[in-house]
Amino acid sequence: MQAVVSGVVEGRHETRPVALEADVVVVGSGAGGMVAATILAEAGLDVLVLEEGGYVPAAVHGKLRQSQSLRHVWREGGMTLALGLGATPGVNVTMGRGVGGSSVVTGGVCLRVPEAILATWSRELGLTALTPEGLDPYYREVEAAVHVEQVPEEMQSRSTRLFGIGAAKLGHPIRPIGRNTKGCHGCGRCNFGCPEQAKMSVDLAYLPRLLAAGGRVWSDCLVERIEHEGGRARGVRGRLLAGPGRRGPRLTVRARVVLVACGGVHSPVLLSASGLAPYGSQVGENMTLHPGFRVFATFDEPVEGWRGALQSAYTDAFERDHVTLMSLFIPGSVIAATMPGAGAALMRRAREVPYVAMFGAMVHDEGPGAVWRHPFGREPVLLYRMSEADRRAMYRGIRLLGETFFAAGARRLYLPVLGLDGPLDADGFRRFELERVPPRRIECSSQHPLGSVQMGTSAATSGVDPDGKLWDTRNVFVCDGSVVPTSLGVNPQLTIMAMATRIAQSLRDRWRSMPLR
Amino acid sequence: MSVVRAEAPAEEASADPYVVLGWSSRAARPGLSAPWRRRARLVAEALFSTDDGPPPAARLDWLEEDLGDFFGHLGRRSRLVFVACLATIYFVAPLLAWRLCTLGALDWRARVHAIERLERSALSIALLGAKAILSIVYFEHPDAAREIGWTQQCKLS
Repeated sequence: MQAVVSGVVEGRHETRPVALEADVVVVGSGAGGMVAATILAEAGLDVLVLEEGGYVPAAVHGKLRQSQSLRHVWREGGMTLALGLGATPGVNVTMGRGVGGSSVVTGGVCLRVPEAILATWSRELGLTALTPEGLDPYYREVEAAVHVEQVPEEMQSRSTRLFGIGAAKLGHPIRPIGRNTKGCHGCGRCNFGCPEQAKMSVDLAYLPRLLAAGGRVWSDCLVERIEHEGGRARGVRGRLLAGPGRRGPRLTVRARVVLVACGGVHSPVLLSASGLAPYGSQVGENMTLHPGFRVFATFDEPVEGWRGALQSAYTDAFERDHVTLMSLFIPGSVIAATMPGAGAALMRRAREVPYVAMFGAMVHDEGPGAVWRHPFGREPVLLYRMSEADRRAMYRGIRLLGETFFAAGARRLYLPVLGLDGPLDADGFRRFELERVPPRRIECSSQHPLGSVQMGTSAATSGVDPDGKLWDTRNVFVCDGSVVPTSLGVNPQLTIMAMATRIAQSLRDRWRSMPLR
Repeated sequence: MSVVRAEAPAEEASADPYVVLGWSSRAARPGLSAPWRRRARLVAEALFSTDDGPPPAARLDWLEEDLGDFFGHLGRRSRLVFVACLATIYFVAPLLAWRLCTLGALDWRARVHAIERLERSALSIALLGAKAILSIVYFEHPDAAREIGWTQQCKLS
């Protein structure tokens, strides 16, 4: 007996081995996989999507506490760490896990790749189709599908407005951003699943279209291996999951095409486990992270930064320094978690939560990092090494955030530095030798693991060809953040969707020439 | 044969806080053993104490249960990481405060002191790891949220 919720088959209820067939099997249901699956299903192909995580119906998100969302729709409760090599901080890498993938837990920011980056792709990497004009139709299609709209100024949180005051005084005013929302009232918890179903994550914008076109989606399915012979994939095999780490009955799928969309961390893991990442290949290499930092500032007035859009404005005025400043807010419980001290000292600081404003900085990084498959567990080992330019950008970003908040009238700053005794006032911040703080003491996080199976024009320097096809295979494609050729400097969600659209349409157009299973 | 459930079934009256809109979110089993949950409680009791003393026992009971559910949904690695962080606090922090015992042998004031010493040491990352998860769960208790002025806006229930 199958349990079906809103058209999604929940694999955790299956008690017997399952064998399925499809034209295309898509592994992963996030911003890349769901978009590609929808396009192929609407072209009349028999598409099956397999998702490792569970399915949390959209209506449930608003009923969950944030920590409940963490345990259900964030991979490993947000506890993944990339190990810093050399003078590099450890980076907390957060990803979604479940139907909709990371699109369920993003702040909804939708920005196109800056033209300067695309120029690098076409001129230096030889990806001549990935120009502003070449990508424009795909961006347009996605922007319409997910309803990208500019965040109105009145929806900015007080936290963002205060930062904006400081930024204007210092001559780098913030600008509104576009997000994939429809009917958003700005309640500041987008990254725990939208409580109002206003964020057009792919489980809302694409899943209904996929199901209407006859596509199938199974949750709780862990794909362990792509079956292949002589460069041709025959399908995938794995296990249905009865719960976290609880392997259930076997799952096998025969398909003409395998589309890998497990994200920037887990796509290389699947390819490696399948023997499709031989020694010397670029699969699992070149990962960039957009390392990010946040600075809290306390004001005399109540801020209550959770009232308003979670992310609503940014500035790229410091792109020459490889830094993008981006508005954000996190729940009061998480702010309190990162305040220094214990006991009465911690609780006194935690009572400042309503007076806290926050802004973030993101490094347009060179990295690189690497993904190593762990021989004894599901989660891989992530390694990351910052370049000298990345380190300079990290300190520059934190310094900029602090200066801007003090220009806005902040009283004290909480810096993302481990082991600091407490907040700094303006004089203390000026005197503080931030650049002498060892990188390992900087608190750093990332939401954008990219480029671990990067697109390119040669197997010697990339993981997939310009159409997303894995080198040396005939019918294995990758379409998620892992194919993004370089770090972007802006949030990648829209670009992942646009590139998935391009890869899926290319596959659709040459379907007849694909090998039969 | 398929059992089809609606997207948003009418909310049923349920005494179980882990059942929302007919969707059960409770982990099949707690992800931390009882001894580790108790150690987590001892750390939390010190972390969230005020000048008046530790937080109410009922709030810590709630934390202990919810922490078990939290880790019940996560994989082995995350559980191991949390236990490693907790073990560092429980066994190493007292040594940094020149006390040859475990955290459990100390009263709550001494525990606070030991944790502060750990925070200033090279092992502060271990404290951050455990403190982050404990705080995220603890401050979701309605009384704890109220105490720090956090409204938990947009939780619709």
